[in-house]
Amino acid sequence: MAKREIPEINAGSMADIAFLLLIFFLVTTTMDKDTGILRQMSVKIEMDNPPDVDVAKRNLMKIQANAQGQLMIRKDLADISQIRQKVLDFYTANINDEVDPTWPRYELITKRFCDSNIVAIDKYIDALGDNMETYVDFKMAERKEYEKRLKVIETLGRPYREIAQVAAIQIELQTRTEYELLITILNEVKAAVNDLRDQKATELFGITYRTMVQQGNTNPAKELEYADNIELIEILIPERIVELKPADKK
Amino acid sequence: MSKFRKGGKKPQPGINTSALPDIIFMLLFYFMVATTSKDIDPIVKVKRPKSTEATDLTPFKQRNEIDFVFVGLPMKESMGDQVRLQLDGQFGDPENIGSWKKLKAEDRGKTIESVITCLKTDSQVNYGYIYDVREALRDVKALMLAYGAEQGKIKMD
Repeated sequence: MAKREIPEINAGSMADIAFLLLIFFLVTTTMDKDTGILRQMSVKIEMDNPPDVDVAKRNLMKIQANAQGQLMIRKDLADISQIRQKVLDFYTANINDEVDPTWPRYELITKRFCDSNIVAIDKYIDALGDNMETYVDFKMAERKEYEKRLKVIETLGRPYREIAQVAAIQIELQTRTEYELLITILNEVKAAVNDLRDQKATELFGITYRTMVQQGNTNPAKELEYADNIELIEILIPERIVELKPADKK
Repeated sequence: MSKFRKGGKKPQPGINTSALPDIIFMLLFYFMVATTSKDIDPIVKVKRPKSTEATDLTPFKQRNEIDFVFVGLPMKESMGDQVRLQLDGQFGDPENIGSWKKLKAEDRGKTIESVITCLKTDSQVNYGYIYDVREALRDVKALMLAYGAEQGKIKMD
């Protein structure tokens, strides 16, 4: 018996179908990517009589900006392009030795130092009781930080030097300062910190911090691979940016 | 000498369109990969500022793990000339954002702390307003915040 020939399928309308799908996607999607600057806000603690925390001036770097877009860094008039260098100075001035008393102190983080702090925190939490729930959370977070530091010492196999724990970069704007300026300032500070992290990561792992983060973002397998390294770098060079209440807010 | 054809011009052969679907499919796939779906139509105007250090929030961390809030002036002038929030499809104020976040967290079955809030803010919005939103978010312990910014070169002047 002779085979029957299969008739060819008419593909003339294929283009129309594809066009329909294409137009559907054009209409329902947007091109803009969801990017942003990530910030971790601090926990709000309600206390009747908050303890007076007195942080030495050397440990703070206050960046102020007014509604007209003028900048002040540590009470000196400054320019946006100066922020990066100032932040680098803030982090690196005393990194090896105590050189400049106007910039933050560096301290040696040892296993003993972490252990004793964890014990102290545990005691403190026990003494607080149950009615200070948010404050307990806060202290627990602090405890976790010490545990992370212990892990870093273990990975490095030696104690390391870290910028003073109270050292922070403060950003104080006014109520009428534009959002764009906030982003510009944050961008500069982040860029400086990321530069330092890049340096450190290249030294330790031969790959920059930014590359690790970027590759981790697009590739889940890479993210898993780099997670520990990224955490380590973030502890070695902590980013402490504090946004203060606008100066002219009631 | 020469012969003449009868019957005038020969009919032109039709253009081969069999490759057309392939081309269109290619375009289709390009758009499917390069774009993200928009699930809400904006009701406030947002022109985002640029930042070189802005990190990608969504490539594989799924979009639905982030709450997007738009901050800007209403698109329709009849809705007033004050900066408002856009919470999903509706207008909102800093006072409402806390309860909205709680509802969203409940819908997702996740804790409020684990969901990032992304503020897609117009570059002209005042910091005082952002600060109010921040405080409202801190009140409900939604501490992960992202300031929306476009990735790209910024010009220095």
